[in-house]
Amino acid sequence: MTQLRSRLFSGAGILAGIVFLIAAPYLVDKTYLSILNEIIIYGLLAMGLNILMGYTGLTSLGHAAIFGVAAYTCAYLTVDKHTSFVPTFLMGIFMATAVSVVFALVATRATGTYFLMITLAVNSLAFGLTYSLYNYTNGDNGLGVVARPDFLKQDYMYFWFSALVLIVCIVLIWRIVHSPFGLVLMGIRESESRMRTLGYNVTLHKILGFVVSGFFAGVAGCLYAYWQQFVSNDIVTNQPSILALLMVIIGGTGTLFGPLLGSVIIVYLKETVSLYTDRWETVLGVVLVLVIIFARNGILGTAAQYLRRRRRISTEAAAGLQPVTPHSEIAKTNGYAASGVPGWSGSASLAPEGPTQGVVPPSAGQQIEVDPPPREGSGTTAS
Amino acid sequence: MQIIQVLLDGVTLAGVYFLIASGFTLIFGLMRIANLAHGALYLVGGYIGYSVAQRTSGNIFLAVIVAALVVGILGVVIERVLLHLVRGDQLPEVLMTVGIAYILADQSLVIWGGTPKIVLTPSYMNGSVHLGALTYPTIRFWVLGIAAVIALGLWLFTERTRIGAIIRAGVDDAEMVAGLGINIRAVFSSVFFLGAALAGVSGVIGAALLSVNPGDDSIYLLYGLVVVIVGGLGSLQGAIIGSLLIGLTYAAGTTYFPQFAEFTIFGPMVLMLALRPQGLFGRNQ
Repeated sequence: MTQLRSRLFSGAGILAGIVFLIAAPYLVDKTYLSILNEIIIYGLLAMGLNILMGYTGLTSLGHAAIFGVAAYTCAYLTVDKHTSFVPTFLMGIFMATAVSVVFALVATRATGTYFLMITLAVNSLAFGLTYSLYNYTNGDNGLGVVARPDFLKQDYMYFWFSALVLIVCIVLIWRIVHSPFGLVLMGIRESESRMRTLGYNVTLHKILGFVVSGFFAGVAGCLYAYWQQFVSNDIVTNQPSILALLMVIIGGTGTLFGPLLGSVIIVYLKETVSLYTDRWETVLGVVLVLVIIFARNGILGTAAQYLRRRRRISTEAAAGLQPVTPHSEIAKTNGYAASGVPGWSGSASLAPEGPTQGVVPPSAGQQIEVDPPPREGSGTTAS
Repeated sequence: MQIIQVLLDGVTLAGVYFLIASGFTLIFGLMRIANLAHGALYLVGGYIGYSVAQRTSGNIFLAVIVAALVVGILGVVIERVLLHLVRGDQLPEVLMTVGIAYILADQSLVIWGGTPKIVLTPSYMNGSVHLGALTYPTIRFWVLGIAAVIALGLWLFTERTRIGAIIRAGVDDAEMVAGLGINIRAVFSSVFFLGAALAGVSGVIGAALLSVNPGDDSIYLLYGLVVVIVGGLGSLQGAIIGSLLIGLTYAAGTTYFPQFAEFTIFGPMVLMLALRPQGLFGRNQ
């Protein structure tokens, strides 16, 4: 009964979303339509990042590099080579995916904080390369005008195109995270060593997870190039990476629509703040710090947690059972007692499909927290 | 002749890189916090050094001391007030330092503006030294000397003093150290002070050698990251060897492949990740 109701709810929600996307050009003016388009683009980037961050448990600070590769590919081909829209768009996605493969091969050598540092370093490298490859990228002057094809010339047409791409991508992402492959990724998030013991090729799956995530970042990058019709190295700074990450956290790590919701909030905030002050980066920093302190579980993460608790109580009541401490609660308490590490509020969720409620799944954290054996001798590793 | 030039350039750069990386690695070694605000602390240090040197007509030693103190205290405030709230959760800690970096860098832009600033140096540091046919700026030898003195000082501090021994013990087992009746919180804060102060010092040195600009925070953070990834997180020796490797590679890169200098420093990093992911002197993760 409850399941049917929740299905009806989500069905209605999805329908309302689609209706809104179709009607949007009639409802809002040009400025807001552009902001909505930006929300779609960043939302897609964040949803791609979420595959890696929320479902695989690897937090990347380098997705702006992949996003940038796609955007620059589209811009270069359109501006310098005058190629037509469809092959250019596909080429942008292809290049981004190809770069993701190389990126993944390097980055997946590490986990946890190391992974974060390496992806950040690669992002900075990409920024440096926009100057080194001046002949292709035009340095900080950027590339423009990235001409749209005739059928997308109008902003509302391009908005509908972006919305269509978004819907297709959401369906794809939904299929991926609910496929056996997606389950393996979530298994890696929960316990890498267990998945390895079960015989899964963990490294390969991490690389594939990274590449799938990069694919969607690439789609977002292509959409960006034709939306702005101008590409400069602003988009390869670490800011888009941070924004996407913040969207994932705010919306709820490991939830399907969370990153999109995060994108609505962050893009709207950015555009509003930019109207009043030049100090967007300070605001961004403050927001990031506050979110980390107060809202680590994100909106949808907290809501899902709440709903699950309610549903559990109501089913128990319906079955005429005394409310007992749920199994996962016991596990949580034990986990706390054993590790003594405060923090991840019940992130060791036993249900394989449960969204991670922390920013990072426990497995990634433990990877490093395990104390290394003490060194022999006088210990010359002064640290 | 060019090879000597490259070697000298490389070693001087290594001096600056070492100063940045040592503070980063010190904090990580004890507290397991990857402080991504380290580049922003470098930037703030550079600007403070600039302001002090400007007012004292080039007293760079005073500039170094003031920058070290101010940035060190800033570091302690960050650790005590903010990081304290999420202590023990690695990812939130790291992301919080990213937020702090944004705030610091943007506010520096407000205070000091967007034009490049060079730290004034006393007259005896300006000019150049003649080594046979080669002329080399005097200031670079000073930078190298200061970096070497600090490296030696850090080594003596961690290896030969009681506090150093406590820090080394804390790296292995912080809980045990606390159990022995040592105030580990105070040790954490002092290490954060020291690490941040080192970032401040490197900022002044870097700003005296080249200049300090908005955006330097991410560039120098990158150098620091690459050095510690190559050398191994949490190891002082790793920071020394790593910075030498990266400094020399970068100097060679700028001389022989000027267009791809940035790319060349990633060579050692990718190689290291492929062969030895924990870095030269790093421990197994």
